[in-house]
Amino acid sequence: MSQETITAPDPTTGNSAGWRELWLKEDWWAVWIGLAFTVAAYLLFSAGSGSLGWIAVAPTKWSTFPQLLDQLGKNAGRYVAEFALFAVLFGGAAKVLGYRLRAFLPSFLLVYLLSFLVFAAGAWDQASKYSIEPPLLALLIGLFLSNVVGLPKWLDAGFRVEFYVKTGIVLLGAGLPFTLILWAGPTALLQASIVSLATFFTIYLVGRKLGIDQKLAAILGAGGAVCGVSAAIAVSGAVRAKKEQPPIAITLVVLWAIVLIFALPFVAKALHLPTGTAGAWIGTSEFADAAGFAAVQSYGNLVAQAAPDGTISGTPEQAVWAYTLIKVIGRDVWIGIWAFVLSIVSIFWWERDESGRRPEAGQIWWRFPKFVIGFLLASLLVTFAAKGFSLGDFNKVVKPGLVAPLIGLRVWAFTFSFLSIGLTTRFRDLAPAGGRPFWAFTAGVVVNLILGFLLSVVVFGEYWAKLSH
Amino acid sequence: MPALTPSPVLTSASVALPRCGNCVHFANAPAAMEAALPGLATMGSGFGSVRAQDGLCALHGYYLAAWDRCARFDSKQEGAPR
Repeated sequence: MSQETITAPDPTTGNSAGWRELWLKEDWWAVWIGLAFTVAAYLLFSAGSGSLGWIAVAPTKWSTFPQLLDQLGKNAGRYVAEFALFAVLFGGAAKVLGYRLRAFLPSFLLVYLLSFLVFAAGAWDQASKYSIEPPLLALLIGLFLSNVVGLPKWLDAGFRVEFYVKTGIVLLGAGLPFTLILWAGPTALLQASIVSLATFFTIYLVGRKLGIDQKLAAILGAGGAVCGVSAAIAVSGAVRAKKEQPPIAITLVVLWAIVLIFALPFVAKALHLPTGTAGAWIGTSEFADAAGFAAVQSYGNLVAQAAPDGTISGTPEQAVWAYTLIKVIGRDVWIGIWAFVLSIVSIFWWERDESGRRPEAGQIWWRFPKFVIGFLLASLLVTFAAKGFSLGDFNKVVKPGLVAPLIGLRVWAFTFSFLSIGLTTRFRDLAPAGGRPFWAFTAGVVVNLILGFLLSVVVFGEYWAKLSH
Repeated sequence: MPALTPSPVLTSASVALPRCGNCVHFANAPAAMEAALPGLATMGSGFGSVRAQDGLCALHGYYLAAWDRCARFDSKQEGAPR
């Protein structure tokens, strides 16, 4: 392990780390990096002096190996520059967070090279024939390397699933019009809230019926209902969990999330769900952000490659937009409130003692996933930049000059994250969950999938299918 | 591997309140949390905002908030009454 620094709370209050959070939390680093890319793209675009597209390079369609090598040779300088830029930004953040660069950089180089291979496989003109989906391929490669081949532990320094996906989400904001967030946000919130509450109480009540401790039942419920591992760990701290309880929830979230990454895109395709509708369903049903993006991006690719005849309506971007609105706006941002409410229940009902414990309302902000701020700011900036352009001009000028390079960088960041999921998932290292927690969590998964499907496809199906500018 | 019991940053003017975050039994270094909680780094993170300043209490075996408290508080601050 190479991390050395700590995030000590302010000693005079014992609460948050104050302003130091701006450089001690990876959420804020995702904001800085994502916004730096967005502002740079905007400045280059508005000055008319070129585009960030030069550096956002990735393999394009190829059919023979010499063609791929030819592409690589012609763009070698761009790839080196792209790697160097990512390495400087992510490496700088990792250094401040306490990692040693001599551990982070080789690890990140491995992540970048594997990502290139994943991109190249996805750009092969026979990829759809063999159902090669880059996000799923990235996950499989990672799982193979970590579980079959085995990698030294020090390489974990560069396998930062959450850091990469948060940066990708900030970049995603640049491609999502702010007006769309305002228009669709309330529906996303309504749908996500219904499913979250139903899932939480299913897991909690089934868990209690099976004799599981109240706190563990609540941690499992939050993991299934809100945002997976992040929610489980936040609620664990809020309710004063026994230290063996969070790993049980983490194991169940990780295992079910991986199953759903592979299952949801293919089920949605078999049901011919429009991309926006499928994105909403995946948004209500997947647990962790990164896992959901892997599923939704795979579905977008499946539809674009396997059904270009229009038998499935919608674009890959619509799937990502609907997913993001449900998951980020509808679920992630409420984690502080879940933690606060459950801490009240814990203090006044579950574990009354004489220690003077008090629920802290401040945790609603302290636990707020700050990368969402970057996501909203990036959306506002690009929406402002696009103001005054007609839809035709937007597609001709703004999209290729400003939005497309940021989408390109986002796909790289997400690919780093998908690979890192596999590279950090060592099944033998996960804590044993036990039968009762497994069945309680699985009951929630079933309710979540069915209710999420009904709301996404039957109740709001038309709405999500037509999600657009 | 860093130590599981980090030292708080204290100024001469600081008076540490009797909160878990200021207790010798409390540790919350992000990488140490990732090592102590298997799978945390897989689809979560020790460095994320949602974790706030939560950490592990070596005395009671809890994962809890830095603003939590108990009767066994033992200040990290040198010279503090115990």
